[in-house]
Amino acid sequence: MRRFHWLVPLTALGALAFLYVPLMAVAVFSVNNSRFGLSWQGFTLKWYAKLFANEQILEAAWNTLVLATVSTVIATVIGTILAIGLDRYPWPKRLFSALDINLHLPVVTPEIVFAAALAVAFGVLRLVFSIFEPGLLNMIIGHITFQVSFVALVVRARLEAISKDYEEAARDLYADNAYLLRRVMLPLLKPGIVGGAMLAFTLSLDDFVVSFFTAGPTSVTLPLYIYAIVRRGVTPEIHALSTLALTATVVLVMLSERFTRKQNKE
Amino acid sequence: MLEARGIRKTHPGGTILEDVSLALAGDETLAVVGPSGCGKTTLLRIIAGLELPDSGTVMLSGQKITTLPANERNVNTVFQSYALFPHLSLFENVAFGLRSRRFPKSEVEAKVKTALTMVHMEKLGDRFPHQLSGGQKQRVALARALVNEPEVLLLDEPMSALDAKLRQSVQAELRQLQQSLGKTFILVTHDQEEALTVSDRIAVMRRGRIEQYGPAREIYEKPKNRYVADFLGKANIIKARRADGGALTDFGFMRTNGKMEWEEGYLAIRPENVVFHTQKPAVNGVELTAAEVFYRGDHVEVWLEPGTLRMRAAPRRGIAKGDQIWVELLASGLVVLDE
Amino acid sequence: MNSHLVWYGELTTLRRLLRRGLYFAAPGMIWILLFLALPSLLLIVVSFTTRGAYGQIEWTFTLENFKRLCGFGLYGWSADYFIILFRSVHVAFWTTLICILLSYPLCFYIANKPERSRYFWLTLIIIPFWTNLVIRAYAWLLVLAPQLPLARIANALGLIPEGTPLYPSSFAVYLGMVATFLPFVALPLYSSVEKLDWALVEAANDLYAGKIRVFLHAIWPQTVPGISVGITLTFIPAMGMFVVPDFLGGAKYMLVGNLIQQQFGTSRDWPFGAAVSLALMVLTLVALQLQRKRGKKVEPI
Repeated sequence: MRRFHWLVPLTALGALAFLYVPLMAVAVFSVNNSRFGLSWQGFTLKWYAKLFANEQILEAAWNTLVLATVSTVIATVIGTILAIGLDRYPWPKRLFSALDINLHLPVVTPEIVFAAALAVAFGVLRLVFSIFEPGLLNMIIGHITFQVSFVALVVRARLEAISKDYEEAARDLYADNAYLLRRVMLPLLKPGIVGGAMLAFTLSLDDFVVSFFTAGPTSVTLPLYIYAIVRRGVTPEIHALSTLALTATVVLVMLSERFTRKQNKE
Repeated sequence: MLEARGIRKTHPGGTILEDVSLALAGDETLAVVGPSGCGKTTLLRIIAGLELPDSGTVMLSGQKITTLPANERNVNTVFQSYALFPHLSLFENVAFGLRSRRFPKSEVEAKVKTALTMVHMEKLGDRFPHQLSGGQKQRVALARALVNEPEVLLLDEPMSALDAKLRQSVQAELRQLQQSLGKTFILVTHDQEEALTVSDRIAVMRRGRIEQYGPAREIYEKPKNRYVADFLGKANIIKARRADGGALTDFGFMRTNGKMEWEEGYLAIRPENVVFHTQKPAVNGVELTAAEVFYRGDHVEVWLEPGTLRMRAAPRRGIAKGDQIWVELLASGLVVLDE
Repeated sequence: MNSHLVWYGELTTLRRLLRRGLYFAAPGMIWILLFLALPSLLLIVVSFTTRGAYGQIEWTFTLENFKRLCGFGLYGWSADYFIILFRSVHVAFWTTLICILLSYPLCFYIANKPERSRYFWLTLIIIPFWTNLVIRAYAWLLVLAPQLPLARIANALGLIPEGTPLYPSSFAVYLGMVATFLPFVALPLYSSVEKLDWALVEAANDLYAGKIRVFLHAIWPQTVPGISVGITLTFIPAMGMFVVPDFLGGAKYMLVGNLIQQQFGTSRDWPFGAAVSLALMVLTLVALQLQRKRGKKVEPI
């Protein structure tokens, strides 16, 4: 325990309050029994009930989940083999740095530039293939593009931490390629793959910008829905919806922390 | 029967092995010793098939295995890190080599049990590597390699992760295991005591070459040069000039059994071959002063002056600092060095 | 090329290895090329085209979009777009700086907690990190509403008229931006602070260094790796941010992100939107380059 100047804890707690006060306010107003205005009118859960009766919201929730699940599954597969391909093969130095730059592109490109580029590309593709109408397919492609890179980076970090000894020991113990991959590499990589997939899933759930530029009228996701409603004027359902989303985030964070801690223990 | 002929290996950084050759009978233990970076681990990896030599051949039971993949060689390795698969139980770790060759289940079970019993780990098969101590991990690694009944077992610095006390008992066990199995063991180590305890033969390496290769006792008692004499055990190096029936040294004329190819060169003598006398001995005697005396429990080490001669004596002799004493440089212990 | 080698215990040839590596890496690499690299090139091409009467792209090549970006419009020269670009950099810079200033006390405070509760405190930063941006931006909109204490205090101080919210304003944008990016600086910084070698700090104290010198010589160099990750994670996205200024800044306080979104949205002027995107991309590259240079100068310990 070190003693700090009193300004340190004060600023720290202030910063945390700064992060949480707005979120708390949303949660409080989600149970406020008032249609208009922001004065306290007593406790109610009716906004939550309304939420589950709102077709649009349910559809948006469904879209969000479908988008996140499909894109995460594909990105995890592609990203994992990409990481293995980059880390475990003797690439010539120049080629490797070119591949590495390509891998980092989705991480460093500003979201909005990427989204604009995608919108333009789909616009051009549409002239040839009609399936590239704004909608779920375009969104899935867009999400996979940035997810692949994050999954590959997470898995690669894990690969770098796996000593060459394990692979050599497996070879020494008569393993062929397939057996080595199935029995040694994939189990050893599992924490990286699961971690990468969780990251990809969360990135997809959180994404607003890419979805905004690629979505069509029938593929509205929750963030898009909230944005649209806020622009039109607030309804208390938004508070309830935001509070639920916040709760889901808290649960996800707890689960992922538990998972990482369990992995660290082993 | 393992044989290596003219093994060469270079890296972009330089030469690692230069013309290394050695032959080993089927039931012997070989210790390859040398300082770090001398190429001993690379030699082991070439035998294991984890690296290819630039030239030279490796023969196992009369067959050339130089370009046989590691997973097809009847050679198994105990890695320095042990490399136990962290996600597999001890049982599955030991079973790995059998399962990858698709042995029938019942056979796998029986063999793994035998192997675990052999290293006294039969009750811990359900545990995982992270629950084990260093010594236990080493036993499992040993069982995992031996369950495959390899013709040659390679051990890379097998004791480096163990503490000194454990090391001694593991060395003894390893020796017993090798003798009961009658297999070829090759271990790489930088610990000279370990090399002497465990092995029948020793190869002393320096900068990618084998300096001396032979039975352990010969290497210790008849080192060829200063490097070998210094690396294995302690040795006094004495400057000498050839004379009739012996050599002329700073301590006077010394009789030796060795043959001298040079006019001027060096002799080596182990501290235990410098013997205390109460009176002037008949041959090879010299009177010196005890400059420092170190009590080491079972013996005392005495630094003698003039010169830098060191000797061992029984504590009961009561040699004290400053004493004038007679010592004999045993003629049988005076080794003529090559250079 | 065809000679044998042993790679991770496998006896093979270089050619065979690279072919297999290619199979593994190709899907991901091609995906990124196809849906990020090529579209970005297309964006460059489109920035030289003309907007058609119905918002479609007309493939007549022109420098018009860049001229317009530089302020040469129908009604003579105006600095509007320059101001927007400059404002974006300005906001990103101050947001990053304020986040750094807040992150230090926050990270030291948490690192100083007993080990068991430290995890709880850290989770408090991780949760906003993962909370949806739209929700967080909206939460600020709510807090700054006229009926709530913040706006009332401002009104009592005579800063705003009664019954008006605190947005849209530059102040609201800054609040939203700092709140959005604080976890992005604090989390990487925390990983550095947790590993901090306090012996160096004690040595500095021992040598009678003042508080500022202790920080500059014993603490700052050790936290550079964390801070530089934090800066990259904050400065670049902050420049392109559009949800926060959209909610809290309105038309009065537009950033480059809003300008791009406007071109692709209501204005339907893709060529000009592409040109603005390129400008943002250039700013990003400059920022990355500066960051890399600076990172090289201060060698992480």
